[in-house]
Amino acid sequence: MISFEHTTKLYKTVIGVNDVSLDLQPGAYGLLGPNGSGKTTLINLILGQIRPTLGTVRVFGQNPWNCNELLNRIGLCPAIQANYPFISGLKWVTFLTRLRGFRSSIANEMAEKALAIVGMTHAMNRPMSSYSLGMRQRTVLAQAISHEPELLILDEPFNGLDPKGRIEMTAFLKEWVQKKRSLILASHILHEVEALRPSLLLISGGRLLASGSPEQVRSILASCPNSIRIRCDNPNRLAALATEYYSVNKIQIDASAGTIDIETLNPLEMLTGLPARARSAGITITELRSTEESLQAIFSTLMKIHRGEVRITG
Amino acid sequence: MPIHDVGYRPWSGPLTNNLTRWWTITEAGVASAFKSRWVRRAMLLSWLPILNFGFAVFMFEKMMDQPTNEILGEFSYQSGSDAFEEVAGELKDEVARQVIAQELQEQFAFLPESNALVDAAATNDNRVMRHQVWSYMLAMFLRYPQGVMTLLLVGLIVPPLISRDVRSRAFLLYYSRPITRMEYLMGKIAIPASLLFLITLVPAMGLYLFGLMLSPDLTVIFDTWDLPFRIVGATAVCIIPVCLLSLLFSSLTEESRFAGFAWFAVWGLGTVVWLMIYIPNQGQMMANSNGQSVADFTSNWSLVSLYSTIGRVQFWLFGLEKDFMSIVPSLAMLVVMSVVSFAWLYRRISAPVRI
Repeated sequence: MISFEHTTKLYKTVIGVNDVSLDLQPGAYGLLGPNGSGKTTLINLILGQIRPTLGTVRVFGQNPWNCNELLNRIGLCPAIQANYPFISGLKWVTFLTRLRGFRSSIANEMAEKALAIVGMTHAMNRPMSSYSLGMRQRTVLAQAISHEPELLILDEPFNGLDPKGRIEMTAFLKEWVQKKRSLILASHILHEVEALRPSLLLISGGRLLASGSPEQVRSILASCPNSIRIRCDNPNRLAALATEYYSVNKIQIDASAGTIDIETLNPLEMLTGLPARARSAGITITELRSTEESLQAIFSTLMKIHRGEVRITG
Repeated sequence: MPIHDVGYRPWSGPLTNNLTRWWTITEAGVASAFKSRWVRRAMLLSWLPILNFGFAVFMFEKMMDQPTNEILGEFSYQSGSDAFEEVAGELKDEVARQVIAQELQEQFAFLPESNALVDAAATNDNRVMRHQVWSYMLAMFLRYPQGVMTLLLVGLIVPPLISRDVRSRAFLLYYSRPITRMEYLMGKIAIPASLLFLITLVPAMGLYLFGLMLSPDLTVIFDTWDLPFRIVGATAVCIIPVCLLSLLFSSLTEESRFAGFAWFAVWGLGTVVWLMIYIPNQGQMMANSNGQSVADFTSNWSLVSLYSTIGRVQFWLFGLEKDFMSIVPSLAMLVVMSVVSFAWLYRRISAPVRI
């Protein structure tokens, strides 16, 4: 579906994307990276808005640069706050659908259908200024799917959504994936993307650091030096157990809170073995988690691996 | 059992032509502009001056159609010879033309260029006079009432056109469709251009047709055939730089009110400065033997005002300003302003994807 071959994009002296090579088959992909990592550049390359400085990009077998025909096979839901006070959601989506070349009446039908899919039928004739943040986000999504694209690209679609909105958005995207349609979801929050169970593309500093399933990404994290937080009823005793049986770099006990932060070189071994030893010693563990489970932690770990500072164990 | 393909199927129906797709942006923009009550009022107001100018054309044609004796009233003479008869007849025609010109001048006495009507009467030919008077009417119509309405309408409509897209980063939405940056720009430029056409080109053409309908015979068409072209030229001279400059202001900010302020400031302050230079020197130009150099001085300073610069080129197009060289600076200024505005505007609307 999409292939990048040694693709580099430079903005004068700033690197947007650095020597990216990948081949994406139809399916769901989570494009993960911190802010400024090159996600938007990658999306713009796919949409043909910018030309790579080096290398090639092919989308559906075609060079996307200035390829109008291709754009009607793709739907983009950008990270924007659509706020056109005097225009209703229906008119706005109809207008944007007409820009794809559909006649007015057909575009209107398509817009109504798309707004129904995202659950906006009840408010589609109201001015957009009266919409909540979640409603606007759903309207932006409607304009992306109104022409029934083959590939849907979403840039931070969960921004500004309340928990209910997030659940609804996730449900819609799951349905989209189940229909065997392709999806690229750019985000900097791992658990939002994980719910769709896509293949993950981890990008940072314009480089594609890793790709794989969420499980594979988590296993990388678990196999690397990591900091673990444990909450239990006897932190001093548990700290003694940890230092006795595992390789521990640093340990910090907060007796009043009943927590221990352990930095270990082998988190996987500790995570699997320590609970059993604690149980044998009569210690009750109420919480066991990595303190660096954020995406940034994964990226810092991956960067360390790339620089050769650490090696994956296990 | 046949297995049906239920996978993705691309749209196979008809699509609109790529070349006219930008018009969708214009259509939506114009429809959106008309939703504003103030815009509707301004449009209505902008058509009112046509009544005054239409009446003037009506009066002019009616008087031109009258026999000379009726115009001159009790003026009479005793004929002595054929030669005297001929000379007296020509004199009568000339006096009649002056009477008509003075009648019209009284109606337009509030306009600074009303003397041009008296000059028109100095010609020996009624047909030439008709051309000059019609040109004057059309030039004044476009220069004063429509000029002011252009300022107001652009100030009402244009500021949010691009600034709203800048604020909401809507460029990404446009460019993820089969719309190029140039088409986006064309669509946006055509919004104020269409509305300005409605208050300049269309009523001016209406005024011209109104004049034709009141004409005594078809020869009037031959006398004035060039005026529609001059109207098109004069409206283009106004609309192109005005649309480009105002859209540039809109593209420079996320806040449409700043764009509106910049527009009124450029137009208003420039005109005030120009009037401050022009009015004190107006008397001197009339009285002073050195009037020509004062006129050159004030002409050069007219460049500070966009309104005055456009007006001078429009006057030249209608033949009220005879010397082409005197309007070259104004024309050059408008061309440079339009080109720079367009280039800058294009750069601004390309910037969001250039990062």
